Amino acid sequence: MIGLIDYGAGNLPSVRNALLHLGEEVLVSGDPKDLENLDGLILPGVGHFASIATALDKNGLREFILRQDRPLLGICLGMQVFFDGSEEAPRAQGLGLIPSTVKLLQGEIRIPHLGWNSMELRQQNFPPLGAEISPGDLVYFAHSYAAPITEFTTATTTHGTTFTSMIQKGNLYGTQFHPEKSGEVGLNILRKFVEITRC
Amino acid sequence: MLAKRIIPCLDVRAGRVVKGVNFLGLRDAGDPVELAIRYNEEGADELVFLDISATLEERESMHETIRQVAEKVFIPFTVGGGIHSVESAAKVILAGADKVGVNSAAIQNPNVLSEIAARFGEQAVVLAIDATWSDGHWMVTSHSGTRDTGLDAIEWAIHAANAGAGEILLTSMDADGVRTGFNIALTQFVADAVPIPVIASGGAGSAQDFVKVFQRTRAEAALAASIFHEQHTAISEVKRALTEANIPVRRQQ
Repeated sequence: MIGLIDYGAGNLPSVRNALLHLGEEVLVSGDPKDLENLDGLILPGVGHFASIATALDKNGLREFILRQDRPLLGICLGMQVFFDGSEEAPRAQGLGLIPSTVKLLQGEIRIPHLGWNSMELRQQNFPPLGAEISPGDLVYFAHSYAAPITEFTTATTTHGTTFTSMIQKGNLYGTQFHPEKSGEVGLNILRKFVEITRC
Repeated sequence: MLAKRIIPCLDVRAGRVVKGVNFLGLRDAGDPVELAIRYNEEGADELVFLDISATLEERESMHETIRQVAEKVFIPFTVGGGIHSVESAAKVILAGADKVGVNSAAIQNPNVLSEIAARFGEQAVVLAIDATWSDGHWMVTSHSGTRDTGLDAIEWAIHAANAGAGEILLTSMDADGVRTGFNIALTQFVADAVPIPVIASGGAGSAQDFVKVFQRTRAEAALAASIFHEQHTAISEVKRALTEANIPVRRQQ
């Protein structure tokens, strides 16, 4: 069973629907007590960095996420909060699981970065979630801020800036795009995460 | 490279897709969930549902329709119509919509854009502008094109982008339903004036109309209703024409 961490994120219903569609059992809760001992966890997110940082300080979610060791997938803002912080809310504290700061996209581009874009998988750091991704597959993005490339980056995307579109660090997984809204390509990525949680 | 998006639009009332050139000539055009599944399979990048409910009961049924679509279709979709506050936006988003389209309510109270953006993010806020050429400029109309607002479409687009809109759905009321192509001049002026994505709407009559709007303007997406509903032009045909013109699109593998 996958635990969906509930702090009021707008895309939580969509992530839940996608997991149910894959035949996975889902538990939705914002209470760490309910989220203990599940196969894996997903931290959804969309919106402002300050809102997720503040939400994690309620109910002891921050401490829970930092001490738990099950596979954890952060989506969009849910991935950004794995980092130290974000330019979007300089005073808000990220989880600090990955060193670096999330930054506003730069260049002759439209912001938000909204729509379907491609990914460059990093061969030296192949994403375990990306087993089913073929060259030319596009995934759906909806964000203005993005994480720089770090040693844990497994895929990159370019919109003005080249940024981290997938990461992995041990049992920690993240996607800047929305797999729950990326059609079959996205469902395959979520299916892969579910498989990982069974190991 | 970011793909240009092709977006079918469905008008929904009392749980059914309806179509008609005006509100008097509505005809039943099918089940919204079935049509959403069909468009997804045909390669739609996104969907827009326009809630044209006339009563509170019909509006409640719209939330059920949104829930059902969100359970079956895993591409982004926007719901417009009847979004006048953070509360009405929250109902639609928590039922499963990714974005809300705000039109008349934002004209009456521009704060509604920033309020929805503060709660759900700018990427969830689509400002819908219905524009018509009048007295030497593009005028914003409201209430389905029936009222002149006195606002200039370009100035309103710039204001809305600053106020929290993450995207602009720009409909040319002059071109709407006429199938003579998108309004290139209007789309070009607005897309050049704002830093956020612009969706061109109104006037699509053929696959080449999509090629033209992307070649001649900086629109990020194009929306159409009747040519897709009536199976006049398939989404795959539009994508093929765009690919031949070297315009990046998402192709089904």
